[in-house]
Amino acid sequence: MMECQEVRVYVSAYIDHALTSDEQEAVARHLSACENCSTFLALEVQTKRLLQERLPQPQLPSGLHERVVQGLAQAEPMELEERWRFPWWLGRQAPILAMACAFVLLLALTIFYATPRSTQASPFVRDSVEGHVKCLLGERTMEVTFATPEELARWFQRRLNVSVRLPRFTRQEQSALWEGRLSLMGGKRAGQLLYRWKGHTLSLFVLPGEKLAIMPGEKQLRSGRTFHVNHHKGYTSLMWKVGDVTYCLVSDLPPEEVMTFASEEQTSSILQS
Amino acid sequence: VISRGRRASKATGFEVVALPHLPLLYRVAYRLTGRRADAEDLIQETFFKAFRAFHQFQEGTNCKAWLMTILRHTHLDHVRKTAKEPPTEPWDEAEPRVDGSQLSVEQIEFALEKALEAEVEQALRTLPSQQRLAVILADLEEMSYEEIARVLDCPVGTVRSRLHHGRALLRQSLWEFAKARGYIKPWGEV
Repeated sequence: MMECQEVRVYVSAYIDHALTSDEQEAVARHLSACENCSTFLALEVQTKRLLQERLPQPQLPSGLHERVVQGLAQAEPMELEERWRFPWWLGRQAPILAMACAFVLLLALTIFYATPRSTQASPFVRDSVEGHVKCLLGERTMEVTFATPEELARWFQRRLNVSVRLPRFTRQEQSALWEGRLSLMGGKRAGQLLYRWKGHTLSLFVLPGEKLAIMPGEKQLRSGRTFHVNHHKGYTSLMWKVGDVTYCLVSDLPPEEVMTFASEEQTSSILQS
Repeated sequence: VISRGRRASKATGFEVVALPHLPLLYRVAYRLTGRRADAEDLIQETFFKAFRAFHQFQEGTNCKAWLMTILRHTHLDHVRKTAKEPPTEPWDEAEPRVDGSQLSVEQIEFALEKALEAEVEQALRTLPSQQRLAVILADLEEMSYEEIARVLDCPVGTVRSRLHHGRALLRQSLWEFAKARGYIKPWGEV
């Protein structure tokens, strides 16, 4: 049974036969059982009838048809001028001008397509940057906080169903806390954890399994590791692979610095849970 | 360059497809503006614009709704130009202060019965413009909600709520007129 408040809008349409047959039936059912809404229906009908009866339809003023037609005759030459007349001052230079325009257009298109577009970012890059930004803005909060990376790795393992290695970078600020949350990257489950360096926050996304066969971005070699550098919305998204696991580090730092940060891991603290 | 022949055929096409809707558009223009002279101006401008944009009109589609949309935009332009201050809030979504449930039905029925032509006209004119147009098109011109939605450029659901609120606002105005004229006593007697 619909609520009266909800029904009233439909009753208005009901008197105009402007409902679907299902809605029409539902309203009729309600009306048969609800006195208040039936009274409202009568008021709606009375209102509509009042408008039709009290407001006589005005007749077309004599001569208006002719005046409109005359007005259209004036519209014609203006339209022709606006649409078709070539500006006189361009005159004979027109072909040169057209060629110049074509050249500029070609140049613009070349630049447009030659420039890497952040809008065409892969879903993995896009999701990682968005996930990072949302955390910075406080729209997303970390789900768990642990004192050691081992504990966080175990927490991830239970949720991602694989063991993941959480790198401890040489340059990271020695934070007492390891904060993590589950995130989505390109529709896949990934772990996200935060690092801090030089007053910046860096998000590391850990994507287990062979889910990312071809990594997006420009390849760069650093300390024997291949990084894939991506830019999206002013952020750097750096990807690399270790075994089956894809890592993606996002920061507002320039790519060079992010690579410097990521290339030096404390080998002693590699965690295998 | 358009040949004379094409220009002539365009004019003929417009005359056949668009001009027959002139009486309907005039009625709506009159109800929107409330004055014959204003309605005529509105009509002249609407048809002028429609003729110049006629190449954009797709043959076989609803010409009535197309013309009515141009009329609505032209009217809105006029209202904006003449208004001393631009409306600051979404005035077209105004809801009635009294939806009728607080008033006795007898009082409203009585107010509607007693309403004079001038009062109904005035009540209609005080409606927010989108609600007014919805009421005019649905109740006076019996246009379908789908057509009205096309004219107002909104979903059918919005047409429903605009009509619903529009009619309720009308009743409220008429009830206030009746009260002002002393037909309805403040203590509720008829």
